[in-house]
Amino acid sequence: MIILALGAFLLLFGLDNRPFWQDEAETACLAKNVLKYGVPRAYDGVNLVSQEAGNEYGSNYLWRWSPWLQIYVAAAAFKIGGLTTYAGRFPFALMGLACIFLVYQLVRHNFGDRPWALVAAALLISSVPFLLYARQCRYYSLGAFLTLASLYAFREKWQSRTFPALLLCLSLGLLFYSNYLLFFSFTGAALLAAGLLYYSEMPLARSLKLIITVGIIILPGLFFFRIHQQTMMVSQGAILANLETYLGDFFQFMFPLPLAFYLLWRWGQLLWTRSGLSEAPQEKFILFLSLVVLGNILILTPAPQGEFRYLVHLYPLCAIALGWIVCRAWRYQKFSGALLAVLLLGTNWLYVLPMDWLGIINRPVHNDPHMLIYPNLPLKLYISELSSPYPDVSHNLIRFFQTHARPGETILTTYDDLPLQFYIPCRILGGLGGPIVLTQPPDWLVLRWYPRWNRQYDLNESEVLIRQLLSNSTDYQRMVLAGEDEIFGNQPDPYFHHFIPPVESLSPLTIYEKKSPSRPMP
Amino acid sequence: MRKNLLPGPCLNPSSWGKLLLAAGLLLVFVQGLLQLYEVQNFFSPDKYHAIKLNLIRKECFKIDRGLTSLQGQLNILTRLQQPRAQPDLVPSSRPLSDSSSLLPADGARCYPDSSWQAAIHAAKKKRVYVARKLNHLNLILQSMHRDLEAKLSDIGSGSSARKPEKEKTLEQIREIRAIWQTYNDNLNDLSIRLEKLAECSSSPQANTISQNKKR
Repeated sequence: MIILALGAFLLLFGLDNRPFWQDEAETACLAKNVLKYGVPRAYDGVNLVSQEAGNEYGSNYLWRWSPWLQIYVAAAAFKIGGLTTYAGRFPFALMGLACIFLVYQLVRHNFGDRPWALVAAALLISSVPFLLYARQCRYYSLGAFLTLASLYAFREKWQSRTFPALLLCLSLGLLFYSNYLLFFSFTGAALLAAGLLYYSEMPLARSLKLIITVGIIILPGLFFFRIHQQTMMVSQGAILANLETYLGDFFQFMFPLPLAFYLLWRWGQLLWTRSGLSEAPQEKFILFLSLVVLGNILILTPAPQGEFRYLVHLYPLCAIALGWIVCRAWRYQKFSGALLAVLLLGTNWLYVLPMDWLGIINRPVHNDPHMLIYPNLPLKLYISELSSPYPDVSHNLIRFFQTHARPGETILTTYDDLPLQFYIPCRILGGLGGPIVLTQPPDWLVLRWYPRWNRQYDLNESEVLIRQLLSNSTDYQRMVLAGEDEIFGNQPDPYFHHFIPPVESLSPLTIYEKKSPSRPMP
Repeated sequence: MRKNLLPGPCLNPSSWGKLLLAAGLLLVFVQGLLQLYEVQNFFSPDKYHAIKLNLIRKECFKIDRGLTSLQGQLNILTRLQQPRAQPDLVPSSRPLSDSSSLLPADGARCYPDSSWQAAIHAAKKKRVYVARKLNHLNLILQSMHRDLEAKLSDIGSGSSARKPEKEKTLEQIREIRAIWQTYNDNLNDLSIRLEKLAECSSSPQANTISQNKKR
């Protein structure tokens, strides 16, 4: 109960401290349109939601780029709680809380080991990247919850009972409709690992029935969400780079490298001495989870972008495995067990330092020491963000236009167009969307210092257009805001998430206002 | 009977394991504590600049590698462009290779259009990779420069133990900014070359080649 209460505080407190950033705002804008049209339409009559040059919808503007479950979850929250940041993030944070409970329950119920269950749940709530992702109006915590639900069902008697079988099919089917990349990577890996370790518990006929049922559930989505079109973006050349990225991120933020080596050494030794895997169900389950995680990463590598967010659903699995290791260490030697628990719960040192010593850490030059790639106390950073939130770039932009722009005016921006669409009653153009049709010069221009390129590696149309408008005209007046022009706002990715304002000020936020005699100067 | 040469109690393998485990974890704990920004800043306030400069040097190395790689890609594309500009050298009846790898110049005559586009795409990707890094690095260097100059002017003409160190860092930043300028000029030249090559690939002559191939 204490862990759950702490989890509830960490997940729900100050949920609306910072506004939606671009990706969250995509979900929020589409959810807003669901309330209006009943379906996620990219166009609401004024603004167009797009981050892929207009490739996400058909001629009727129906969203076909990503599955709809997260959009409907957000829409339901908006319906109940109003169109607010808190309402948009609330159901997803709740899913994060459910993950903590499920981790505890999965271990306790299956193995009857209360200390392990408690440590695993505590490790999950002390995983700051997991908390950051779970507080987003996006599919991340939904994916983690459904992954855990499917594991829970798998450990029940799905072979003979209807409810666990139904839960297994439903959780996997819904995982597809949360994000199909998570579905393919997790289901593929879990199926292989289960076939390898639990083959004796998998009756062929029943297993086939379940696979077919899941297939039927996902079949409409396979065609509707243009998966074939997106597989065209797969590049064989990116596989190795993605593998490097995923493994690097995994060891840096999810599972410390020395502990992975410990598992490898332990299981390698068993294999070498041919003594076979211990039949203890706990260790077998940890091996199963490890294979699922490894398989998941391998299946993800051909996907077009190697993004850390595609691993977030594996956090609960890692927490269970780490909890098991902590308990083993405690039983081996109390001092080491306690020290290991302290290191894992309160610091990121065991993640970052060994990689630093080996010279394989990924530490981008733009990061500063108050981010998770440096040795830190992550929960301290996280709590400082909760207790004294700073106005990030999205907040500053939104606040500026809320006070300066008049409803119906046009804003052309190179990024953060979607948060502006959600919060500002103006016509917002640009961002990473498709072709821009201008009937008259926009009232406002926002040129961010960080240029954005499209998938063809050309500058985005909004960038080119704004530069043209500014170079050919003296009609715009430059305004420099006090806030920093960060690359992203509330982006949860550890390489980009600032808990406190950046140490170095790189560039102030700059806005251009169209000079007009009829417009009063702010 | 084996004689114990070391004083103290004889440790069995399990005890050694426990000792090593505890020592390893303690090492991580102490190192982590010492590497906390607040602790480092307390003991050596200029340490952060040293770390940052080290990262910048690594970034420069990556940029240099990126530019070399881009140059290599453009050289290959230029060699391949020559036969592309002469349609009669590419017989339409000749079967085209499906290989997507970058071929040497003597294999250029049968270089397929999709591979040409893929090579242009790869070069553009590399250009963006370098441009992003250069853009970011420029702002970081500017910011560090500003910051250090402000700190030095705060110290003024008065003597401070930390002044020479700051001046040294400032000098290093100036040197890196000069290198940055070279990289930037280099990238600009390569970008112009790449644009010309990309234009060539969308020129009518290139289209003729691709139509010939389709037939």
